[in-house]
Amino acid sequence: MWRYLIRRLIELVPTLIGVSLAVFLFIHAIPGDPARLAAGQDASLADVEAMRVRLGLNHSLPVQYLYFLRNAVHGDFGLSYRQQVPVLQVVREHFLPTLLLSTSAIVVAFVFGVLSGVMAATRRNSWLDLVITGLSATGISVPSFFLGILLIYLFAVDLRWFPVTGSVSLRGLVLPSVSLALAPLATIARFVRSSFLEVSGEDFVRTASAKGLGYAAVTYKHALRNALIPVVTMTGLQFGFLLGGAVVIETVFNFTGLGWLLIQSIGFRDYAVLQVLLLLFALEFMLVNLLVDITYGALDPRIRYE
Amino acid sequence: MRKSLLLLAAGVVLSFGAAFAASGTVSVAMSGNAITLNPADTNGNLDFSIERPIYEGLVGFDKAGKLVPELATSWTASPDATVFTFDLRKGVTFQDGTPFNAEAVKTYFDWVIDPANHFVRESLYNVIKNIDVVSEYQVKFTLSKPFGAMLYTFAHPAGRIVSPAAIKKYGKDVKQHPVGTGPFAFESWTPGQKVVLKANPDYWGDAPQVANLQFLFVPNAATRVAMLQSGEAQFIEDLPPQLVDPIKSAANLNVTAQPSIYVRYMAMNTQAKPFKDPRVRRALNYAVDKKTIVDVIAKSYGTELTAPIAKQVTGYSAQTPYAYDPEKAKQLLAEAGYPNGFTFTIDSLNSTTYQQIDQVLQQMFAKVGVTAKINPMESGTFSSTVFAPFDKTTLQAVVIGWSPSTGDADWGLRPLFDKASWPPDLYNLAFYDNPNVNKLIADGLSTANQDIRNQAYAAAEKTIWNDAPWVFLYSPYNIAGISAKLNGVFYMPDGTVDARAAALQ
Repeated sequence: MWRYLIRRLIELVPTLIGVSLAVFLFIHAIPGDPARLAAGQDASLADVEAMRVRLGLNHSLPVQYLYFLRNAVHGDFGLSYRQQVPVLQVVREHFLPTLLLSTSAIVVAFVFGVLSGVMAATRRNSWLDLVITGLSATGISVPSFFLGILLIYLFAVDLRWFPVTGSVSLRGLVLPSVSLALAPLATIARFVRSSFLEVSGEDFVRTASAKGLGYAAVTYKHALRNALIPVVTMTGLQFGFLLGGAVVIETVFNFTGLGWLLIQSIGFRDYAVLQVLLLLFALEFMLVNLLVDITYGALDPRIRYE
Repeated sequence: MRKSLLLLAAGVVLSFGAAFAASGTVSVAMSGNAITLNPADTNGNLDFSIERPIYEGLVGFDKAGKLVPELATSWTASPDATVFTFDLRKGVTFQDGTPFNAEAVKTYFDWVIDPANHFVRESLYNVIKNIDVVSEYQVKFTLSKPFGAMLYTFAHPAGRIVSPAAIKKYGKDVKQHPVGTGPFAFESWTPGQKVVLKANPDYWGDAPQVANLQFLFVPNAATRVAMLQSGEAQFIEDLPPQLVDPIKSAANLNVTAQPSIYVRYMAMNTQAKPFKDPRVRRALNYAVDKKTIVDVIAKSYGTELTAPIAKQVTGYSAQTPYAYDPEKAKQLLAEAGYPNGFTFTIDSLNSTTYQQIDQVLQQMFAKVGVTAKINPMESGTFSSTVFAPFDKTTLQAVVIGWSPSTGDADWGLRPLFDKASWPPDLYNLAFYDNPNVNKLIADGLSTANQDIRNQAYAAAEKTIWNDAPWVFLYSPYNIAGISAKLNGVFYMPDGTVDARAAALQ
């Protein structure tokens, strides 16, 4: 198990280097001149050229990339073009809000998604099943920003139970987490329902019932556990996306997370921040995938790590 | 013993009470995120707004955009606009206790123009050759060439003076440790969320009316409106005209709108067909119903342009507007050889306002037989498109805006109409070149005599208006939402917020 983990982690390194080159080329392919944008609309050409030197953009592309790699190995990712403070500091400041928001949203989505999926599956074709299936179809279709604005007007402006802006506090997290959780919650619920129904028809579930196990033991210990494997994959994928920042919800709730930082940095052509952000998103996906693979083994002991 | 303790406690409470007479917190919601609080390295209005209560300049602007004394009490300029001498206010200290004097002024401006610092505002002040400390309260600036707009350049928000002790201690990190002489001192900065200022008990002028002043960063306009409604903010900056109604209809909220120095226009490439012919450019001016644009796009929060610069800019001279007259436009087009019109492309930003302007113009031009294609672009792409040099430019026409941050005609005309300002150098997007105008702009800079300057600028504005390198559109108002409980926070004509006199009822 440990050997497996270490091997997987070492394998990340060449992938990350490859991603860093792809990201570098991609960023520099976007039209727009960061030096002009940083110097401003009313800056003279001399000011713009001075800014180009200050940002290190006067070197050729291969030289810029090699500088980036050399400094990155030493843990130095340079200064943000926009704020002139270390990139890692900027990213760290916006990472915490995103981590809190996406974790709380995925927990809400997973817990309520699994519960409603199981309820729908075990009472298949009942009115409860119809309601849950109907609501989850709505949940997938409602745009999150629309739900967010509705929640703000009801719970923040009218009732004043929660603040309008999602700050990094428990009360501030409620509305954005709920808005963000709805779509993955609905997806997870539908996934659990169909996966559960599929597993319920299998021989080992029938055997478990036949050997006299109670309803709860059959449902939660045997059927659900096996039904969760595809659900975990899906949840991991959703979590990976959420960790990349939720641009729209962050904007609506004024939650300055990674999504917000990404949009700002693109608008400003802040190459230094973009490079690190996109690398971070790739790394997050890789780590979430690894986590999903490990969870498989915990759910199904037949899965072994070599 | 007990008695003396009680007395001591009472004394502490009293002195505490006296020092912090002001109470309460005022929250101002800004439309973006602060980048720096170092005036010498500040590019945007948002940062200048937060710096306003912290720092003061030698001179500044009042609400109407008129030049007023701040840390200087009086000044003189040599007739050839090369030597500027300021008498300084006595008894002023920076928030860190450093005394304010001529040495502090010299330290700051020497720091701004030190090329090693690469500050974005270096170019604004590097015309300064020499700074002399004449006496403790008199300082003399000698310029390397005549610069008639210098007094207005000192009034620019980048001319606000940082404590010499802070410069020594923090260097470039002053951007996160700002220290000035203003009524509010810096308290904290939570990145991406807010900057908090606290009342400066030792302020030389009118005592601050609230204990805390905070600037919240709220990029989404609808969220700013919700915060004003819920009481989380008492002043919200940059209120889009489309969101004015819910605030107007609330009993405890108001909308304030003031004229700005911002101008919106369509620049036409005067060096290429079809816009090489001034008759074509005048025709398009006659083809546009400016009143409809102000009513529809600005919801009447704006005013038609009556000169290439806005009314609040020093050196403004009113011209006769091009009346809305589609028949005259058609006639001029026919005279210029385009009886059946022509087709051209309008480049612009992809923001809601600019796309709306593009579409209204498109419809109005269609009525005189001219077909406009719209090419909206994201800011980075737009910037590289408009700053392409003349031999590479693809510009036919571009809809955009300009705000002369010094509040003076020089910066409202020179970057936009002087031959030396063709891209990529500056923002003469019409590639306009009239030797007479080039000379008048130079004349305006060669003297410190404001009457002579005004005459030069009036003549330049008249020629530009007649040559019509732009379709002159409108000047939008600065619109803000404000709680009925708040006084003393307002928009300046340059679009910055002045919250120094914030007071709660």
